[in-house]
Amino acid sequence: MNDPWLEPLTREACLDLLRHGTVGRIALVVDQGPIILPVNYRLVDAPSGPLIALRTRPGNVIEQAPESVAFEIDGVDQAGHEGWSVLVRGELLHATPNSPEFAEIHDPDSWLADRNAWLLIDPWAISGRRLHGQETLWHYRPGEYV
Amino acid sequence: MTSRGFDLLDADECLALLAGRSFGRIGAKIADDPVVLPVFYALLDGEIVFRTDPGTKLIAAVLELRVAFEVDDADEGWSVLVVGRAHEVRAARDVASLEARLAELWPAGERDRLVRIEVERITGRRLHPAG
Repeated sequence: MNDPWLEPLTREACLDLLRHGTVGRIALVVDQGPIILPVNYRLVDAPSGPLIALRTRPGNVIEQAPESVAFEIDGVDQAGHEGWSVLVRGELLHATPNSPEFAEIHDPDSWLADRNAWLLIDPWAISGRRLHGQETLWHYRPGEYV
Repeated sequence: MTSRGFDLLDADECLALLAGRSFGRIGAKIADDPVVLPVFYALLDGEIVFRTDPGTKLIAAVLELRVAFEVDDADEGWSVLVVGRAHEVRAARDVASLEARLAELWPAGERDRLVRIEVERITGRRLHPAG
């Protein structure tokens, strides 16, 4: 049987995919239970290492999140034959416009000027997989990621 | 038009969106840390069904536990979130029945196990068009 899990992505490949994406999903556990939310994000290449910057509205449920979160981006081609996924696990930080981390977010787009809160994810694990072949069997194999 | 910039979807709208897709993400906890993992799924009889790889000791992290399951379309601007318990489909008759329905979507591995997520809570959002 074709084993689709043939190509783990290098850290650099994961960072490159993160660098080019704009929408991802954050997963966290709040009082109401587990949630996954799509969010706009940017990868910030800070001197201390890569950070995921999330745009969120003040008061959004994400802001009350506990510190440990997961963040994921993925893609599947139209035919469903090629796919990839990157998983980031990290700590959630709050960034104010005066903070050094915020200064690293170079964003010419206007929505940065909105009165939105910024959250940063400081990764402690980045992993990814590329899926090839005619059978895209994304079996549930968390062992590939952790 | 709401001030939030999006509309909340009712359960029927959410299920209709889920029925039209086959790729989603499971949110679970492994050793107390959340993870998000993509799966190909089918919506059958109002439940999310997907295959698992046997022999992964971590599968115990989701069975009989409450997980999140999410499907979205960034281009169309919607997302659906399901929260519910994951159960393995064990009864041979149920497995055979589901496999027959899934066979056209994706081929089964020799030792695949089936997992279903019952829908305890389903919510969805659709963003308003920009401008």
